[in-house]
Amino acid sequence: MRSLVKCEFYLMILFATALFTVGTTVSDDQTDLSTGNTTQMMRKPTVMILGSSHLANPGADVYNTKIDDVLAPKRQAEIQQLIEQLARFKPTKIAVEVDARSDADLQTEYGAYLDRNLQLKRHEIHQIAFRLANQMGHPKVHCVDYFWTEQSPRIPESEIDSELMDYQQFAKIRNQEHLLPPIPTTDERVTPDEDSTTLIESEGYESLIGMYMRLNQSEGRRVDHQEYMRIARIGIDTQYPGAHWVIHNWYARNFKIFVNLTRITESADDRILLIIGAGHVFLVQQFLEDSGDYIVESPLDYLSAEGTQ
Amino acid sequence: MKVLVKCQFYFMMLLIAVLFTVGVAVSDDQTNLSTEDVTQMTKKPTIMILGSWHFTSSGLDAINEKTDDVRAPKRQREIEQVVEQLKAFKPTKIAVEADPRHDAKINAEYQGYLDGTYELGPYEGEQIGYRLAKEMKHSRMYCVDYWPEHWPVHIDHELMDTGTFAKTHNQEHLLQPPPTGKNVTRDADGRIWIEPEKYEPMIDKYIRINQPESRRADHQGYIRAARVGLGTEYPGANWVVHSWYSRNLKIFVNITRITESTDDRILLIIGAGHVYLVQQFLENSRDYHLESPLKYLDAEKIQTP
Repeated sequence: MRSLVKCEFYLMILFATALFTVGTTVSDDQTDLSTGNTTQMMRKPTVMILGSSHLANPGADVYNTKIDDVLAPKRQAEIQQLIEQLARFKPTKIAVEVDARSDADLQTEYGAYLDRNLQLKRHEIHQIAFRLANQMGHPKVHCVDYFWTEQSPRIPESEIDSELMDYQQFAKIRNQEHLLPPIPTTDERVTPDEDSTTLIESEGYESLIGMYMRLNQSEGRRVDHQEYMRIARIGIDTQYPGAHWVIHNWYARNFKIFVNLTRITESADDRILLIIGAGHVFLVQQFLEDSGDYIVESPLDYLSAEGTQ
Repeated sequence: MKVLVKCQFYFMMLLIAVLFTVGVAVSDDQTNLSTEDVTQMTKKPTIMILGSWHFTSSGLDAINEKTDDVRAPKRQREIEQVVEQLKAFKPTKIAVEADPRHDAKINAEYQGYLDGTYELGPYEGEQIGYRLAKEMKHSRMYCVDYWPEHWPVHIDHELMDTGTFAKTHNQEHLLQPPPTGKNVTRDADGRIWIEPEKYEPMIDKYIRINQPESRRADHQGYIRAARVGLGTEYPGANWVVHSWYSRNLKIFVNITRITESTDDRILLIIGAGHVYLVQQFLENSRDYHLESPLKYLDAEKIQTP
């Protein structure tokens, strides 16, 4: 039974592989009509991705940039300024890094905020997304992240063989640590705390707009993604722990974020602002561009440090 | 125990997700120094991908293009002309669409071809690959596909059944429509056969299918199919990522594994459907120079006898 299912699986890959290749190769004219022309002649919805760091210092991650209290008056003024600048993009929808299944919960929170029954917390979803959505008169804030839970469709649990994807362990044992991303341990601004999470102090004072401009430079995003391509190479012979991890976890999650964006797109007039951890920007943007169905704008066209202190 | 493994697994993802973001964000200078310098100042190996069709209509696929026999004298001359033009790329290694587990078999064949004891089969990897490798005096061929005997990551078929989901949920517009026309026929098993409308020389066909626009359109087909799904179901994305992207990323990894020096000039001969994604992985890695076969293929330079 199992091998039967497996056969079907391979056959499907084979089918589909050829389907696109030959389909397009042979019937170039039809394909251009159905896809090429559609993309060129119709208006397209617009997406802008604002790569963010986590403003609330959740410390949930191994490396955390330490940010002083964003509720302090000076930071609040900077956030107001940031929101004014982002408002010029004229977003029709704002999407955030919250699992799509938590949509109802987030709407309850947003509704409470609109009713002035919610004290905004420090994180960027409240501080930027809620405030901007309110200013733009949006009825809701959209959740587009994808996280796995017990219920979600995914690689069957029996198949999660952590050794298959444990590229860090593999790199250590097989002398491939040069393929792992560099870790900023020699820097004196880096202080590991007792929970072995690490806080990284910024050097000098950086305004929030300055920080966002820095985080969204395309070169920085490219370098980030390059690290994933290097991790993918961890493995030897028939073993590909790096590639497995990069595809089955990182690509899979970001691909579903892209799919979730397509699901909230309703018309060519949509202008969606996605606020998400900066590490996601490169890949989500690449999927959007590869689809040929979106215009992608850069937040750098809207952010300006001028007039900030 | 199981729960523990799972927790660790999620935790690991969380860790890594942020590791890059913040790591790079904060230490921009160091990162730029260590990678930028390498990317800009050191020489990089070069790769050229020749997108191909499969010379034999195996009939294994849902859609098959009928091809005439590439071993006929006229086709053989055309192949020699293509090989002659590709020589200008000066490849140091030629890689073909075969899993590395077939390395011994492929190289035994190639050695036989060098010795004059093996007659080339009707496959693009042999007709173009072996021939060009011999001209370039290569000692071996390279296999870079990913098609293992046992698939280590097995994904539940139902979670990826894009076709059925699209049919039952009225999402067939997200799938490529089957080709139509009087040159298209369907056999008893439901397989589609396409008869070419006119004779097309090999070189013209290679130039046509390696156009960037054509590669892009192919890939867009996958991205559109990835949207099949609803609510908590993502069959399209599951299939496109866990099988199609996965295979192509491993082809990229296999290319890095055969790369030995920055003087390497690798020619990869592979089904045209792979070109866009493998090239994207190579570009995103920033470790390779990419060249287009269109730079070397020129139909007008060919003397028609």
